[in-house]
Amino acid sequence: MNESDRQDALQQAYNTAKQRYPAPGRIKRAVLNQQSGNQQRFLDRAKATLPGREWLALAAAVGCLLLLVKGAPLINQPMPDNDIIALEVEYHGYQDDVASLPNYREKLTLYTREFTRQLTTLKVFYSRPAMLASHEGNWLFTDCDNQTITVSNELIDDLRALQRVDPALVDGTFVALAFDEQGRLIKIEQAPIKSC
Amino acid sequence: MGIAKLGFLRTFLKSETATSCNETLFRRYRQTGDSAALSALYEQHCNNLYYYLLVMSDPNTAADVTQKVWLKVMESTQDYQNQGRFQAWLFTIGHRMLIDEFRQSKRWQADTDPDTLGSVTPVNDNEADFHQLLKHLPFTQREAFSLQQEGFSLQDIASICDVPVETVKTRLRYARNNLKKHWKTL
Repeated sequence: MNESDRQDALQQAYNTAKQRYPAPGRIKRAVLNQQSGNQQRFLDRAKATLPGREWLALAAAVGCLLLLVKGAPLINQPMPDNDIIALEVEYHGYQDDVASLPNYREKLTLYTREFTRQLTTLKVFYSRPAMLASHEGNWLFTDCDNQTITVSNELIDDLRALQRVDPALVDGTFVALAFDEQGRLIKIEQAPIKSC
Repeated sequence: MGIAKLGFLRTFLKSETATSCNETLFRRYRQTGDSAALSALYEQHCNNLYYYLLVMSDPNTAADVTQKVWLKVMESTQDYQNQGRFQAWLFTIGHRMLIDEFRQSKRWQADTDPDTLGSVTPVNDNEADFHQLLKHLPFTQREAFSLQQEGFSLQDIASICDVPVETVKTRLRYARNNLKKHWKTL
């Protein structure tokens, strides 16, 4: 018998002996029982880390609150005076367009009268910070983006008649331009601090 | 010669497939805690590990340590770093736990004296049980021989037993010589 055959014979004898002594079944049962326990504990821990009903209700309430606060501009909710909620330049227009009047001056007069009437009931929708650059003739304002806003002298007169322009404004004064929900200028007042 | 090469290739491929299967099962168990994966791993290795521990100890100790090893595997899944060497990791845990068990029960004694390496108690002539013959080998020879029969390389055995490779070679040589002397079929 050569060396290789001897090795094979030892291997064969070892494997035969091993087959006569299999691992007792109780070991497997114990191991798998422990595994079941571990899995259950894992699931329990996972459940424990999930939020309870109260937390879910609180999270839903906070979500609704955020939606109401952040979503207000999207649904055009009127806001209190002087709240700065948008800086976009919006289209100046009137609700009741009078297309039947071909004459521009007649149409303008009608629009101005309508606008003046509505000024008493309009609410500020957003306010835009700016600086009064000039108030000779048409008033010139410069906003925070260095855009020039021109307000006609007639409109200033209308606003003054309704005490909607701060009489103490001088060149260089920081102001808040208040617009209604349709983007119409309805009030000019001095800003308490530099807003830009 | 060609057949021998083919046989070697088939053995190699089988071994590679088993290793890959071990890794897949263990990765699945580690990631998902899948009981089926653990059960499959257990079925694949339980008899080998148990028999190695049985050769090194007695039935009660072997059963206890086998169970502890698997519990350790379940607890220490994140510690497994030896990619592709799950079986070596399993037997390393087994070796260490067995030594701990012996130390706790004060049954451990170093068996590395070179003068005793060649001695083995003669087996009864009527005893044809290779298992009993193995049990009469000195501890370190028994361990090296068993691990080699389980398919581990010299390097693996050295790593599991935490000894140099040359020491493993010596132990294996003594073990084989002793077995040759006393095993009736040789």
